Amino acid sequence: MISGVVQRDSGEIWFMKERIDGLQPFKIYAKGIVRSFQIPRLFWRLTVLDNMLIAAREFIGESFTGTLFRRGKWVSEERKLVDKALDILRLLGLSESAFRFAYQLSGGQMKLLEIGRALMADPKLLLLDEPTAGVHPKLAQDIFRKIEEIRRIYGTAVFVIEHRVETLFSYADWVYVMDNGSLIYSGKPSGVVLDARVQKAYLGDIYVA
Amino acid sequence: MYTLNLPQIFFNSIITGSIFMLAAIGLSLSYSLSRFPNFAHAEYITLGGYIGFLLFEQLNMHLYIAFTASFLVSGLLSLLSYTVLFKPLQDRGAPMVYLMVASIGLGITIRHIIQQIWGGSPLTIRAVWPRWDIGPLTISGLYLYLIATVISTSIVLHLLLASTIIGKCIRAVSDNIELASSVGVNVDNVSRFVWFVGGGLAGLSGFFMVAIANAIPLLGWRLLIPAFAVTVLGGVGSFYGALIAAYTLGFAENISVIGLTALGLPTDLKMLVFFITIVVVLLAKPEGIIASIRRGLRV
Amino acid sequence: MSDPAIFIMHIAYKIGVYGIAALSLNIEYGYTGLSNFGKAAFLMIGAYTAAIALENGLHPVIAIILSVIISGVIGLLASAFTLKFREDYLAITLLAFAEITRLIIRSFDDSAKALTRLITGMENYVNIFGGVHGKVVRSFISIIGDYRLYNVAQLCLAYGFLIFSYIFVKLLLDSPYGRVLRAIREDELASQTLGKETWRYKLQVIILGSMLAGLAGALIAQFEGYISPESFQPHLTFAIWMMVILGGVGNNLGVILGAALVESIEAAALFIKGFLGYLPLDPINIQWIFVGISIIVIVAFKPKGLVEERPIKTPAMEVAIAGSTRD
Repeated sequence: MISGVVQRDSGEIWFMKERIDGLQPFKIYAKGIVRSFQIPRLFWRLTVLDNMLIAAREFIGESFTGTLFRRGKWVSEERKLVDKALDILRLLGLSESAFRFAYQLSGGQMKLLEIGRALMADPKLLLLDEPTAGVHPKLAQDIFRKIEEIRRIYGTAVFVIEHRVETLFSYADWVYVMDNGSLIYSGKPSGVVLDARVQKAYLGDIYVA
Repeated sequence: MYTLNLPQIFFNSIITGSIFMLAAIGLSLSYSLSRFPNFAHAEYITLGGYIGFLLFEQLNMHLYIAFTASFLVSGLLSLLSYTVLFKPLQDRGAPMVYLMVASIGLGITIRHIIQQIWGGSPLTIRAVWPRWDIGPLTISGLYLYLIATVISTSIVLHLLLASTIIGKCIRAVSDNIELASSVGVNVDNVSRFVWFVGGGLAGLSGFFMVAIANAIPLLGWRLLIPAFAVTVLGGVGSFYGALIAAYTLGFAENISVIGLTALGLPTDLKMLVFFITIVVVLLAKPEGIIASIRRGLRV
Repeated sequence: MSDPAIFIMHIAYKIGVYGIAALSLNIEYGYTGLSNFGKAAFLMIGAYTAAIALENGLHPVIAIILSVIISGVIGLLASAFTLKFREDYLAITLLAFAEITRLIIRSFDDSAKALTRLITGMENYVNIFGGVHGKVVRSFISIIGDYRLYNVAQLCLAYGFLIFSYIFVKLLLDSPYGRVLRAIREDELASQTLGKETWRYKLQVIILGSMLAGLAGALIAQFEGYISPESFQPHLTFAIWMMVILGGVGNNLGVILGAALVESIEAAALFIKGFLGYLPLDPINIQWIFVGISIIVIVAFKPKGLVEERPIKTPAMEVAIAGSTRD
């Protein structure tokens, strides 16, 4: 809803002192909010590196006139973008697969590429929708460790929606617990298990920042 | 200036609407069940017309035999194209655009086979139909056959859709394929049934077109855009929507012809009515205006 | 057609021109995923614009420019209404659009004559489109006498434009721009969440595709010397689709190869006409039955076409690929 894909029913959404509800997805992106999808929505018949480059911000080579008339500029810009993309891919352990097509990746790699692609857009806020859903628990640990690393290196705010809370809590700073659409807990991860209402609802959706 | 014969216009609109309804029902139902618009549907119409011409005019058979044969042959062609071509393509995960392209390819093939057999020039049935003059109205016996066909088809389809297991299956499948198959509906059988009946009804519309006017290889293609307009206006997959849309557009066509004739303009421009209908409905209410009104009224 | 060299040149010319048309559909469908089933309309608009411009004594260069611009404007108008449509709705609408365009051009003169009479009471309307009778079109090239030389000049014209179009399309699409188009084809919503204003790209693509189609239409009209609404049946759209799917969706050289193959099938049908004289078979029917069956076979067994799509190649990507193979 924040990312503009689904329109809200009520309420207002504010980000960095600006109202952003009702905006189209590309405008939300322009504000610095980038999301990943729970079920990967990669560009399947593009290579992994191409998938990364699509997310780049304000790239002159992507406009009609820019492509044709400012060729020198975008060629050199793209070199930098490719380096940046390869850095991120290396961090995510995907650099081996940079030139494979997205549909050739394994399920876990697809999840990682979703994150990498979002990261390529220099997000101020990174929304990750169940980044470990459908992934082996061991790999889930891995993914969270990578997200943690991203946060350290890039200083991005990361907002994770996750059901797999037991692995997540060791990485989170702040937890919101939702049950049936309403917020029932907000605080440190360590307090969650003590909270009566959470215990009652046991596991709702847990939002972690 | 000529005077308007209102009863005749009304009657003609019913006739046009009946043809549209027969032509469009199969298109609409197969579109919603198999999730792509089948452009070869035009050729089921054409083939039905030519089969009727072959049996009734060339072989001098009884009208009822010709009538039944158009239904069966077009229905079988439709069924065959679904089981041999479209179903296997869908099972291989062909994208919708490829199904559309394949359906155009199939349509062009059938159309040119027909043209090879019967030639490209118009063929006419020379039978003389009984006529009655009722006040200002002239009614041909042929039109009574058409109306009887449409009424009985509608009743049968209504009973089928509303109260039988097959009808429930059809509605279940067009609402949600995965859910329907998970509760044990045989999606394949339902689809085969719909493709057969839909193709057969298209064949009947061709049969009546040939009897009313003449047989040309482009017969079905000329009815395809009106049929799409009916499908879209009524809502893809909605039988009652298509019924109402067919008669609405039947009236719209006849009224536009009167308007165009009064202005001295070519009557071919009546096609604009269907084009504008398609664009406006898709822009405003892609699920079909009539279908959404029905939903609003909970009919 | 007694001179075999002229026959071959005729086919070569059509390959060149339909190569341009195939490129234009490849930008729309192959790259961006827009299912334009109304391609014939845009060729028709280009053809009639060129014919009318030449008839009014305009220079061929101006005639070409007008064809391209007017086709582009009509493309803009057509897409302004239909861009948000799902692919099947887009296909139905544009298919109907092509038929309506043909109908309007066919009945325009009659309508305009009737309206002139109705409004001004005068009979002074001059035919523009020629209705069902079509129009005779002047050639762009005026070489009188030597028919072979004339044909060579025509070939240079067609292939000049084909090469120009190919280079233009390659420069435009082997780039970040082309990458965005492919991303839109793969997943429009995901492209939007990554900041792409997808409607803007789709609009540009339809306009560009229509302009190229208009160019191809103008070139066909001046070469054939005669056009009529019957020359722009849905068959034409379908032939162009066949070129793209047979040659290789998303591969620019592939679709030109596709154009060559489809036109060769047509030429073969004409060629065997002589042999079929003894049989009661119409070569036009045989040709289209063959084309129809082959498209079904391609869609079923070789859906990627003869030449498959390649990843986008830009200078930076080449460097990166070289770097990765060295490691």
